[in-house]
Amino acid sequence: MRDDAPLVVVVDDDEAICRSVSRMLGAEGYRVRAYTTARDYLDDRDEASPSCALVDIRMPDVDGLALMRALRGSGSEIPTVFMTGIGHIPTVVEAMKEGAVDLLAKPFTAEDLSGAVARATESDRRTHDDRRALVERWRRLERLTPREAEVCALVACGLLNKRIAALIGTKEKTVKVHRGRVMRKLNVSSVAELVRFVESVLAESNRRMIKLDGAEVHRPQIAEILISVTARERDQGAPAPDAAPMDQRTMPLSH
Amino acid sequence: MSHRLVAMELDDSSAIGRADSRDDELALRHARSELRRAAQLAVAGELVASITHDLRQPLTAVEMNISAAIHFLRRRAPAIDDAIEALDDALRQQHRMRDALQVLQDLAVRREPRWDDVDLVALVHEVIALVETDALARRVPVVVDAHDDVPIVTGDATLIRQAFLNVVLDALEATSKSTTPTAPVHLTIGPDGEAAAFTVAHAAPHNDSSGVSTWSLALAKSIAAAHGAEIAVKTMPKSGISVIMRWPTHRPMPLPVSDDAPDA
Repeated sequence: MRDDAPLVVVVDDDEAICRSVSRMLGAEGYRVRAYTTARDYLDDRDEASPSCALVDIRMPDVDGLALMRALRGSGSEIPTVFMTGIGHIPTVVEAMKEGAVDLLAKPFTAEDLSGAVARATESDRRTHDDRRALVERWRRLERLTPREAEVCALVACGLLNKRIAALIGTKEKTVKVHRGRVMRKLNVSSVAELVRFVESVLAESNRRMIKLDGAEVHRPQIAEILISVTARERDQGAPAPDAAPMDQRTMPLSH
Repeated sequence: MSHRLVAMELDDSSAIGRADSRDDELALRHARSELRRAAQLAVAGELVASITHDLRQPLTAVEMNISAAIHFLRRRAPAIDDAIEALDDALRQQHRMRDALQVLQDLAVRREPRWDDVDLVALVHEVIALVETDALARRVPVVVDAHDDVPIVTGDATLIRQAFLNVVLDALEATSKSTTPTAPVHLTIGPDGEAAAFTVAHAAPHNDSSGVSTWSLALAKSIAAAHGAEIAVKTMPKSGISVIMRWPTHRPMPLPVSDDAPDA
């Protein structure tokens, strides 16, 4: 079994289910950890999150739904596949509302299991790729100075150099220099690419921290400038260059 | 209720009153019959639900184990030992299913209870002898408190012994899964008014607040219902779980043959 194979966690109070599902997934090349209580799993959570959790809905003490809520509460976004032997419709509906990616009704087949786990791990891979890409954008953003971040935001809002110069109280030529540095530091080759970069950062503006490969990565402080300047410009539409006094329209930045 | 009202209103007419009394009696018998049938259906439904659940689990495990074994055998270098291990596990799960099905079969061909005088104290000692090996293996002591004045009850000794056995085995399993796995299981048999009470007190499994909830308890309930006995399961946060069975000394009233049967 490869060390980089996706890790699947199985939580079921029936040891026979834990053992056999683990065996089946192991045979398919997954790394597997099995727990007979939700508490055991919560106590033993790895720093490196698993790719998928297979959780029995009906368990004594902490049931599958409570486990999922606890995981979500701690910031985990692990794709969860619920297993159920009761088929109680309100419980199933609640499970799906809680964000289960799939539901396996016992007795399920090996194909059902493989399909559900493959979909869940693929979903986790996509999420992981998205996170990695966002962290990469944050790292590039971190290279900007506050002034460059402001220019970056204003360019992304569609403002011309002359207007930007007026807004931040500098010369157009200086803006061009800032703009060139921004393009180089962010590794973008066109304004369109710069706009896409900024939009992708803004789309995740509610995230201040991301767990990646077991480590917490925090959004760089410089991103706050990008977010706040963009928000301010969008709130104010496209004002004339002299629509507001200079000191109210620029951020108090130090060069 | 409507029959009663009619009888009261027509109290001054003796002929009609007698006819309505007979209607009342039939209605009462019908209502009792329906209630008893509903109780039996509830017990049967609970039993079927728990046995169905107990079949789904091993059935899933069998499917997973056999599929894994096929995987192991289809490899370029077949993993024979892994495949054998998976198939052994599948066989164990198949036995688990067979046991659950046996319960259903026993119910399907169940004879009518034999109504004899039954000494519950003697039955409790028989049950202790039966579970002795299991208790030793689990290292769970069994403590018995048998009172002298336990009334003789009327019932089927074989069935009552099975009900006791199920409850005691559940208690041993629950205790061995508790945070105090060597705490004793207490069995008490004593008088309770017109009845005899058999109580099994044990520690709750550390991950299960309700403890005994398997088909074996459902079967015990089914046997109790056939004898007009009652089972209550009490969960106490500190002291654990108590299963209390109250067995009447007299045979319960038999069901009428049919709803339309003439007054017997």
